[in-house]
Amino acid sequence: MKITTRQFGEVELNEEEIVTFPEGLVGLEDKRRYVILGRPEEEPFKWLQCIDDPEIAFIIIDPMLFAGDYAFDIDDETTSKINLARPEDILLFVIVTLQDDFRKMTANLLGPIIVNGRNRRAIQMVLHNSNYITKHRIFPSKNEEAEGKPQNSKQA
Amino acid sequence: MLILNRKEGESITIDDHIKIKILEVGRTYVKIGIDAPRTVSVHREEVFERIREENLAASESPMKGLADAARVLKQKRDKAGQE
Repeated sequence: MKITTRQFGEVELNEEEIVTFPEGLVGLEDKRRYVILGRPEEEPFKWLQCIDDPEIAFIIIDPMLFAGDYAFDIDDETTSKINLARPEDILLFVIVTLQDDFRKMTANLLGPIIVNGRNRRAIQMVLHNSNYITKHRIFPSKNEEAEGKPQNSKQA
Repeated sequence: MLILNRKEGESITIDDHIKIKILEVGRTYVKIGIDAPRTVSVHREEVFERIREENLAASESPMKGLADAARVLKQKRDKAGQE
């Protein structure tokens, strides 16, 4: 199938590349089909492009690449929604919010995206009982780094 | 919307298996106890709201400078790997 994208023009897609969010994303519950695209020079950043609306696209990244101690429990409700049986099937991403200055870009650690790599079903999990924040700096400012302060302590 | 008056210590039951009890009424808050099966998700609305707002901000953010960010991130990781 051929789809129109926000950044990549028209893209030819195989059905098996489609990532389905049975519940959509938070605030975009009616948009359920996405595809993950990327450009080599932008790796490890990737694009989560909505198939049903070319204007909707997100930048995503594996959080372990900049927040190595990121951790949370995946509850039974979430695993059942995407038929997740084995931890090794998990592909984990977080959504990035860019700024004019790329060094100020932030990642939403409070609403991670979990993809079941086996069936390509995905969900945006809402971490209700965590101190993670929606605007975690990917490149912490010098001060934050010097103090060695975890960013999520700000929210507490 | 169904509106009910409840006093401290009183409860309501939803669908036979969800029980909501008013534990404490303060001047500016109410403390609520919720008994529900594990399969029922119970959430504070504002966490959803924060994520909804951030999804919107992310989808409307200026999607440029990614190649630069990717380069800096790689440098940082290489440096961290060497240390």
